[in-house]
Amino acid sequence: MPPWQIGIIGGGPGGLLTARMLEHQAAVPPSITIFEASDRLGGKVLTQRFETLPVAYEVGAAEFYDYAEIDEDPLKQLVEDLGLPIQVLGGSSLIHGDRLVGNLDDVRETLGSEAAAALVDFHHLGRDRLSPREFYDALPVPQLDGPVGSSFETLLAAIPSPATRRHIERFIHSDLATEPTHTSRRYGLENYLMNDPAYMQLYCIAGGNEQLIAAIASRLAARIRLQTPVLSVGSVADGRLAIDVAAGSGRQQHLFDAVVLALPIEPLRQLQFGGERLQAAMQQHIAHHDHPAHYLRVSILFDKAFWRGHWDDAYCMLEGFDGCCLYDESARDPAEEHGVLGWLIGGESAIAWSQRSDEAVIQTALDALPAWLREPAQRHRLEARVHRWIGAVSALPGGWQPLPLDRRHQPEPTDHATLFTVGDYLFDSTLNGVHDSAEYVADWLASLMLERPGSTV
Amino acid sequence: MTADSSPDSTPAPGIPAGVPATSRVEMLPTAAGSSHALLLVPRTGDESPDAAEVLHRWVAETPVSRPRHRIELPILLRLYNVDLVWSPSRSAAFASEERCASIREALTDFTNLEAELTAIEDGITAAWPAYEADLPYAYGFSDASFSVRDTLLARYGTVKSLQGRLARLTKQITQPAPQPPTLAGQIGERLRERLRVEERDEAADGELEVLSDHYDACGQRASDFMIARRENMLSWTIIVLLATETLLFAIDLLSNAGT
Amino acid sequence: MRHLSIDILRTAAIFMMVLVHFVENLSATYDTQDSGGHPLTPWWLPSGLAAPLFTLLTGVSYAIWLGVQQRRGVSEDEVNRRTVRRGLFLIGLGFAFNIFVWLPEDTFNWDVLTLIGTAMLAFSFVRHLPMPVPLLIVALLAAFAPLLRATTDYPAYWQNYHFDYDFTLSDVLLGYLVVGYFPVFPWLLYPIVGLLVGRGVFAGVGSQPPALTSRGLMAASGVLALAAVASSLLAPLQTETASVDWRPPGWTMFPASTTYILGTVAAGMLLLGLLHHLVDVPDGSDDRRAARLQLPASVTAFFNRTSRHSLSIYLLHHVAHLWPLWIYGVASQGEPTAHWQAFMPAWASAGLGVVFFAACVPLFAWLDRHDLPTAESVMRWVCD
Repeated sequence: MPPWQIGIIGGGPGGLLTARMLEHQAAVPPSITIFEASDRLGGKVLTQRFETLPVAYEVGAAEFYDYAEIDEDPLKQLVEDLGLPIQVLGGSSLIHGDRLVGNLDDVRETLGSEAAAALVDFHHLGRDRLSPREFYDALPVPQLDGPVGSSFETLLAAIPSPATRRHIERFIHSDLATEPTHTSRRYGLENYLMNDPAYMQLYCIAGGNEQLIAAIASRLAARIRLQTPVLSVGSVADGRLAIDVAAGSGRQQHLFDAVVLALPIEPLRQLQFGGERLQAAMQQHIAHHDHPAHYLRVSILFDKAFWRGHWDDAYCMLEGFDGCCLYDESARDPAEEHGVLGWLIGGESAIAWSQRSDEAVIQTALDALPAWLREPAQRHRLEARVHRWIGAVSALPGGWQPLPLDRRHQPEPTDHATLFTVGDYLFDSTLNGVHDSAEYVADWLASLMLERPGSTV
Repeated sequence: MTADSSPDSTPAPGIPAGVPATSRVEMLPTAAGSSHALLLVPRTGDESPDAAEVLHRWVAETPVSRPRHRIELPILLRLYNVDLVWSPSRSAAFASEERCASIREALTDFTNLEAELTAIEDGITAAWPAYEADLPYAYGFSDASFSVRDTLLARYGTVKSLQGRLARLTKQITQPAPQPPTLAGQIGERLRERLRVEERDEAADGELEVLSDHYDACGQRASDFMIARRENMLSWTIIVLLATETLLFAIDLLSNAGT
Repeated sequence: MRHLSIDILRTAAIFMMVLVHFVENLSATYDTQDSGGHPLTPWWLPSGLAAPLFTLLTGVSYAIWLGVQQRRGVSEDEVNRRTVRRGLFLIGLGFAFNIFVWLPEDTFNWDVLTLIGTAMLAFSFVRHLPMPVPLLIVALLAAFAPLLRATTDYPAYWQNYHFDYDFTLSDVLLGYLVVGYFPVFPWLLYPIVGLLVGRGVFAGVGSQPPALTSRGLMAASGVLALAAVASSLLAPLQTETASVDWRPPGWTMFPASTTYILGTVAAGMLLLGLLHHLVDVPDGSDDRRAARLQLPASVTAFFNRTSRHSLSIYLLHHVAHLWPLWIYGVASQGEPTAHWQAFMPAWASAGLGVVFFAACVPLFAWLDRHDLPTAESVMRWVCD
């Protein structure tokens, strides 16, 4: 009996993880084809090297979330199973002016006792409203999810100390990748609480996160077709699904028993769907999930990590760009002798600054450093890069209700029951989210293959 | 972990030259038999650039090392607005006056915790040769092993005591740091990380489990042996008495037959 | 590892045995009025001490031998086999000795060799018993011996001051158990006590110290000595025994009275404890120089040699003084026992005994040097 033919559109983490899980979970491994429009796999997981020196830095996804403290963490398990070295990332400070504010004592000294008390109150409020278990299981919390229109801003507005409010806003701005008014209370709170180790910790893969992509791809039996943009998806008369891809100046059609759309919202929007029903369903799907959030990344190579001894965390927050995250990229690889700093700019600032020239962005990033870093940064700077991720993630606006899991992953269940969607935007815009999404679809497809063994193609 | 609430009677060392006059040395409340001096140097803003080096030298005057874990001492910790040098018997902090209470609290807790962990590790190290010698008793017990029962009991007690101490210590080691992070919590966390306290705790726990399993097995064997021995003794006593009785009858019969 | 204390004591035992046997067999006379029917022996003769010490040391040596076998990893079955073989060998040797050294009518005398052989057979199971049980056996052997002697009419077998029996099954068995020279009741208790003492003092397990120190052993001997004194004070109440010469009331070897048993065991343990404390290497040391009292090497070698060949000396000294006596008796009066116990003055026979003992030293040195067979090497060859 011929195996199922499965087409996966998108060679990012979602597509690759779905392919891996299908190959592992299906009783009879299906025949999988992965279509990737670009010349590389990995999507938003992208590690690059500078031209001046071959020093690695993260262009895309900066870190993985470690939930192992609460419960199983399948993504971390996968990273470990693949034998990839893990580097824990730690940091808790925000630079106010030229001063590192790393703990409550610093807050008290810098912002005053009232601000410190307000920060403690906010932290307790956050923990009371969303426990680590609720955070992990993404369980609904009615009083937190709130009515339509209740954004994270409403929570921040209740903080009595303006200094504390500003401190928190700056602290989580780059993680939110949007403004508090544009995201839900829950999502905002999650991004604040994730700094508490009881909720999660951060880690990366020493030597570059993209190693995960390479490790997964090298273990796949699937056919991978790079530089093969998919033009349209639709069903044919017997219920099979057809994928049209660009082939030279024309198009080529491939038939599949099932198709997985593992694409972010923007590429999904550009895809053509056959049949009115599918078109309508996909428009609805895209409209429901289209809440773009934005990133801008600035990475600068220095001839040495001159900040060591003054600042030894893996990251801290800066006040510039309404709050951005400063990574010590060179802390990700203990063997690295040179220094790399990375600025993660999110939200409206990212959109605003993405219009500006690279040099302007770089200069502003350097200006955002405290005085004790700014001067040596100019002296030791070797090379700088800017990467723009506009609309790359989902902001999860306030009052927005996620669809049931089945509907999230099967946009049109009537005539296109074997057309699935996978993506980080279906969960929380993280790598862990895309892993959950891929696992859900792979389980579903595996059970379908058990019910109806053999391909109809 | 226990710490004397009263200050240690060990005289406090002098303040080194090169630090501001407002500096002071305090003796931290530590467990009986040990002492820890803390040099607190208030940050004034006009301190000399080598002030941290002076603190390091002062702490390094007491040569205490942790060679078993290949940890270089003293440990230099640069936290947010606090410079800290720590060794098991001395530490020094360079911080604003407002931070001193937090620093003292964190260092007292950590120093006592680390000292207790080291004492437990020393106890474990001392227990290994006896463990090797006692291995046969975990498999079987005999009359020849009878005399070692008290020794085994004492070793069992030592191991269980170490295990109890470690269990109480583990509770402190694994308890999460307060959130939002405080300076005291961060000092404790960083020092625990630098002194590899969690790994050492796990290693000690693993070693104690081996020792404990071994002496549990010895205890079981000894207990089984004692029960069997008591039954055996009773059986043999009866057999010997019966045999004697039979022999007496036989001799009586032979004696009568002779006459 | 050899223990000098045991070598010294065994040498002393075998020397006393040689001396007593030479004097008693060549010179003893009887005076029923003065001695109450016991052989009259010179005051200086250490009679009645050698056999208890010799049999006690048998048990001690067996305990040490057992420890050596266990350390060498010899299986329990093999140890048992060797023990039983040695026991049967010694019993067979005892019979042969009675027949060929004494006379055929003495076949079932139940001499010390058959006692030691019996002890070996007993060791094969006594060694497995938990500690209090052998002590119970010892107590039963000591307690029942006087009762059994009364039951079996012991004096009837000793009318002529030596064991006189008929060749009937009942006499032979009673001789073995109660009325012979060295019957099971109570003589078997000596080797068993020796086994217990040897286990406690010498056979420490692995790195563990022995359960009983030499001081402990001496203390125990003190308790037994006090018991012996008490038993002696009660002697007038006992009807079966009477004191002779310097010995305390109630002290008789044939039959072995309670006072005698307690006294000899106490003396053996005291001497063993004392010598172990003084001349043996302390536990945990392999260096002979660590002993508290240093003896010259030649003296140590002498004790070592005589101790190792004690069985051979035992056999040889009988042959050396009895065969010429039997031959001379047959030749002069046609009766082998014609001159038994009346051949020469005591001082002369004692001198001969000393000369014999002195001659044994070079003889066994020569035998050792040329690797010639001795009673001990034959026993090892046959049994091990």
